[in-house]
Amino acid sequence: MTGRTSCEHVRELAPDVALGLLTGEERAEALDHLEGCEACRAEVASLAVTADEVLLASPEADPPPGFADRVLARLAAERAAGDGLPAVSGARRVAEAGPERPRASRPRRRLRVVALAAAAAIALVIAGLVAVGRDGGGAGDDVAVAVMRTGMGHAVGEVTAAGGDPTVITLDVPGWDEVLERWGDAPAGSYWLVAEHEDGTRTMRALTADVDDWSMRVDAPVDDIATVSMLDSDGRVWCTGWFAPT
Amino acid sequence: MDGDPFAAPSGREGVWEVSYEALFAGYASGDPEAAAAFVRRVERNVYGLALAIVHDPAEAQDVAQEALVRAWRFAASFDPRRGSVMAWLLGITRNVALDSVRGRGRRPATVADVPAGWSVDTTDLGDVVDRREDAARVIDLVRELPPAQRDALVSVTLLGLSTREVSERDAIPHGTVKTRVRLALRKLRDDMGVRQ
Repeated sequence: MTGRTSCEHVRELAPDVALGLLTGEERAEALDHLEGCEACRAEVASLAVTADEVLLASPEADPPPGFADRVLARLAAERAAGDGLPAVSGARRVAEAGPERPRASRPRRRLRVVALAAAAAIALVIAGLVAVGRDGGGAGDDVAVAVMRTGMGHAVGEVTAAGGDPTVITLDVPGWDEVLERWGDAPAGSYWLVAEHEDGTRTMRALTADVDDWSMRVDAPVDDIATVSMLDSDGRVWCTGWFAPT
Repeated sequence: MDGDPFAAPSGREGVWEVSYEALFAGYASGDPEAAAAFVRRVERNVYGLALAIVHDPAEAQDVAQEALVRAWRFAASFDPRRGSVMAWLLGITRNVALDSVRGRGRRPATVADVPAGWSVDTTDLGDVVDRREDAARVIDLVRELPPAQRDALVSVTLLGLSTREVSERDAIPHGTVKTRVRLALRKLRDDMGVRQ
């Protein structure tokens, strides 16, 4: 991903990007180009909106009797199990889909800096210096920690945002290799670590096979980070961590 | 009545004139009346799409329920700049349905597998008369696409098929399918006046 992909080429592929049809290196190169090209991003975005609107043409059917009541009962149970309201953040379309992930315990893919950041976060929480929301860390002082959850809501790890110059985001998903082994149809190779900011912009880093640490430097303060997600090269969101707003 | 905040209201008067977006805001906040009204407003759409993809009523009910719960959980991620609440919700529904199908080792529905009762003719995508205005407009524009482009686009967007699967299903070159999808999506985008 060296920025070789031209606007002309990416615009030709824009519908494929918008529909999530690109895979592998071709998708990675397109995403790399989009990261730095506002015009192409706008093109893809307009096509993605259009693709979503086609869903309005989908057929309708009457569900079995009592369906709505069952949904409402489940929502009530969800509320009773949690602290009430859904997680709040400025994230945009990053929490959909993604297959379930088991909570694996080994091996742990972790660097010393991750352990230090997490320990510091825990210490700050204990000291009451950082507020911790339902699914997320407080975007308080210098460190925030959030639980990484799949689209189905299962916790699979955590993400830490450590303030500094620059802010460093570090992802820890224990047993990642086991997760990949279980979901054998997952694309091998590149993943993307994506931080979404409160203003809707994104910072992305490709996590190719030669990358040892799942961390990323972000040119923004900790409390500017809304969510952090892991995407694969097919563009599927595997997990997301939500940072509660200040 | 009872203490359950999500207990269904006795009547629906007053909420059916409210937009999807307004009901969704109430749904996300946990407002009980809005939640009930929102679910009842969208259940046919959500269940209908789920059934079209998994074509098993019991599984479709599970998928539809999961989609609505997921929409509630991640309500904050909805970005109105990206489109309508209904399109966002149906996108979630499609993804949950495809995960359900693929998780069971099955391929997603093809046009030939869709059960009787749902017309597979893409010139008849539903009863336009009772549709909301925005959905009716989309249906009309989709119908106006050249048939081959329309079939390819609907297969990819509604049924969640890959272009490779469409190519195999219709026995046409993969490149041809991709071209049709690209042309259809661009034309639809231009006809709908979608801009970023």
